[in-house]
Amino acid sequence: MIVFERVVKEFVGGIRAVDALDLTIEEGEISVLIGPSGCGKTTSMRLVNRLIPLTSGRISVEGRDNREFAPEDLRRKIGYAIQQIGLFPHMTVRQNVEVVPRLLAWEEERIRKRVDYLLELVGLDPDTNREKYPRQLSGGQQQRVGVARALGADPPIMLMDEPFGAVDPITRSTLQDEFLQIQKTIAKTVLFVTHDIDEAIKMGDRIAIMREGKLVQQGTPDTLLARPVDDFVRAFVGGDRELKRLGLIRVRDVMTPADDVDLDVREHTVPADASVRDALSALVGRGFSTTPVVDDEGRVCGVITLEALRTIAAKNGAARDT
Amino acid sequence: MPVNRVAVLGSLIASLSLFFLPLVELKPNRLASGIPFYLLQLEGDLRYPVLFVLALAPLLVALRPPDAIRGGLLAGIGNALLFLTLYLPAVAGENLIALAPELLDPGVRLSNPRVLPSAALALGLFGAYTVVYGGLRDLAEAGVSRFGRAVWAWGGVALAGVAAFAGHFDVYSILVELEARGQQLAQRTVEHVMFVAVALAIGLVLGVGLGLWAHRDRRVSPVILYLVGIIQTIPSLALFGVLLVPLARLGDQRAVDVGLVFLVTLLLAGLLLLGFRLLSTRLGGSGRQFLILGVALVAAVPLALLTVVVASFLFRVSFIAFTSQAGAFVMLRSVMLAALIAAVALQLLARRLRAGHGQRLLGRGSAVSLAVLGVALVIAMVQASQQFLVRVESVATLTVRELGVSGIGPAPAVIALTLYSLLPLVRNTYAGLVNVDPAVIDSGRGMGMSAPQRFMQVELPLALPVIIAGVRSASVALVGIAAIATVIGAGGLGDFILGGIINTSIDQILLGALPAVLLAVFLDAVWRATERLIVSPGIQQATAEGSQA
Repeated sequence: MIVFERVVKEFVGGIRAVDALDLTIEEGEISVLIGPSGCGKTTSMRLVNRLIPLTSGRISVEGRDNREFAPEDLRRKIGYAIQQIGLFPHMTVRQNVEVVPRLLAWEEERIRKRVDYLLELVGLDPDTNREKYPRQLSGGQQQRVGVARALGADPPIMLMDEPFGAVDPITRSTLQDEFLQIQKTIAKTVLFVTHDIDEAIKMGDRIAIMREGKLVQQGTPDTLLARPVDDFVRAFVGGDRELKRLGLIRVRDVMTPADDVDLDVREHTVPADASVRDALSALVGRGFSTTPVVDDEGRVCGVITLEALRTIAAKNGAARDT
Repeated sequence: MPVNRVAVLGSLIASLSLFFLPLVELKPNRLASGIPFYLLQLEGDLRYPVLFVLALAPLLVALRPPDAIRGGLLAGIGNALLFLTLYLPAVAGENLIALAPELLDPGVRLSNPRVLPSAALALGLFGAYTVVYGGLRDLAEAGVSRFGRAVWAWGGVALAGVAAFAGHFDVYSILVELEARGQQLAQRTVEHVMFVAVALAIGLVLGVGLGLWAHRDRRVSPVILYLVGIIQTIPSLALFGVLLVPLARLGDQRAVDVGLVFLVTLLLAGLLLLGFRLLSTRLGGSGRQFLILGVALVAAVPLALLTVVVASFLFRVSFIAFTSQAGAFVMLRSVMLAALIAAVALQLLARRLRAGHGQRLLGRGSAVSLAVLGVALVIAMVQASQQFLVRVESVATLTVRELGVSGIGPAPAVIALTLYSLLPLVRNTYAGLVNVDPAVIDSGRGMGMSAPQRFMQVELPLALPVIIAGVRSASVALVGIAAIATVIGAGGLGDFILGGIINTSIDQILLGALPAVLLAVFLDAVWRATERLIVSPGIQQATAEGSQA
């Protein structure tokens, strides 16, 4: 857990990058810090591992003030991944991932196992990639190594500053999915900084919106989309926020279960794990009012209708208005 | 490009110069001027016309479609031409020398008559190698292996080398000159190498150190870069001259006095700096700096007195210790004891630090090995200085000049060369460090590397290619500038060059210049090899990968 208490960061010249920030990053969750450029989100993140000293206030990490640790010791306990990746170009993939374990003087055998485990975790075959240099990897592969390196010494906390920023949208989406999958097993406390609202909604268990160094609103993605506190948040989450909310609901949770469906459109199906938003898009796109839902093995397990979707949207709206 | 234009060019250069320019010059002795001979003037041997044929042949071969055969033919012809352009004139030269009394003016003294290679020979060689080069390009395009191409590239040169060793080229004036002055040449070459090596070693420490400082402290970096830049603009001749007077003055001083002054200044500066640093970290803030400065200045007087007392005491003690055999023994024993204690202390400290912060300050056993190394070094130093000092009757009256430092000779040469090496070293160290990707440094910091770890593991390895490039250009430049040191009586290969200029003896100039050129090329190759060896393959220029793809 990371707790910001009345944290202020004032740069030379009196500019307040972070202004009396109170924020709690819950254990085992991905908390996204989002806001327009210059809102202080990256600065806030860098205050946590003391890459920047704070002016006043207090940040506690795992229950202890982060100034109690020597900066190096603190940083070795906190995974760090940045947009520019910053892989060491003169080190192999293995050496990059080994950096923090070596700083912590782990045993050789333990380091070796850890590297292989991490490379597999991020979807890189250890045997073919271990001895490659960063320049021999694609952008996406480099990002993966960046994540593996941040996880190097199994830190309980991760700081991620737009870690998937430097790749094309398709690769980014894949990396996001994979990281969510990984997070299910490793359950780190993640502080994730981005300026992309779609990424925030997708990745975040909780989202905090910042503006000019201040926290504007914090909550689950659904809360933020349903009840933006002011016009700034409303504009920031976008005009299609109702659609975005539908993106948070799985088809599995709202379909009408059925063993078999007597429809002549059986070749057009939606997966049960797809979002309601995608289902809606499929229905509208094909001009159907109903379509079958299939599970992981491709068996039909229910149907979803336009009518049902309309009901959900209406319910959402009612919840918002009360 | 079907026609091999490079080979055509080489062929034209070789054949035209062989036709129209003098090939060799017959000289009665080192100084007198000789009579030129053209290739067409040589008669009595059917081998001479072969040169024309070989020089013209590439013109025909170059018209063939480009393939490995054309490349092989061109390179082969080029190599043959290269060798024969050296060999045949030597054969002719022997005949000419045999006939020298008849050919030359009877009034001239014959002493070591010799054959001076002339324009056609030089241009012929150049043309021949151009043909070889053209052939090599064909071979490279046809996919011949690197080794195969190396054989073609150096075959003729190697053959010529063998012939030279076998004595076939002994008529050439430069070899006659070498015969006469080989001993001297070896000595001058060693001197030259020593100048370059010593200046480079000192320059490396100073230059890289200054580069680091410039990188560390943004305020001093323009000052440092400006100063080393200015040094480079002083003509080398002037720099040698400027050093003459102060070094001559210094030479008159007693070594003991100079040492003492130096030591006191150093200690004082160190203490002041340390105090300043301690105080400023303790207090912090910009307004208090004047206060600290004041305190430092007030403290400076007693500190200076104390340092003088301590330093002179240490000096006297060490004199007694060094100058008597028994003293040296006592000294040795106490030094070893101190080293042992230091080793134990280091080991304990290392363990404590490891336990305290979970970090490894010193590797297992490295403290012990460090101590052993230290002891060995101290023993060696004590013994060396003992031998040196015992020989001298009275150390206290020794002047600096007697230690080898004076206005002329090697001392100013090494100092000037060191100063010249600074610009490339400082500039490249600074540029190498400044250009390290900030994201890489940030992630090093973010992952918990301390500043020294970051420097050793990230910044230095990444700046290394640029630093080595600086060392390379410094070494090559030093070889050239060292030749000027002859004007202040320092010796080196410049002796031959300057002497040759004074005597208008081209052989003597070449005898000095060729080893210098070879030395520069050799140093360049050594540094390139070093770079390949110690720079990570991850950041070397991507040639290996390109050929794989």
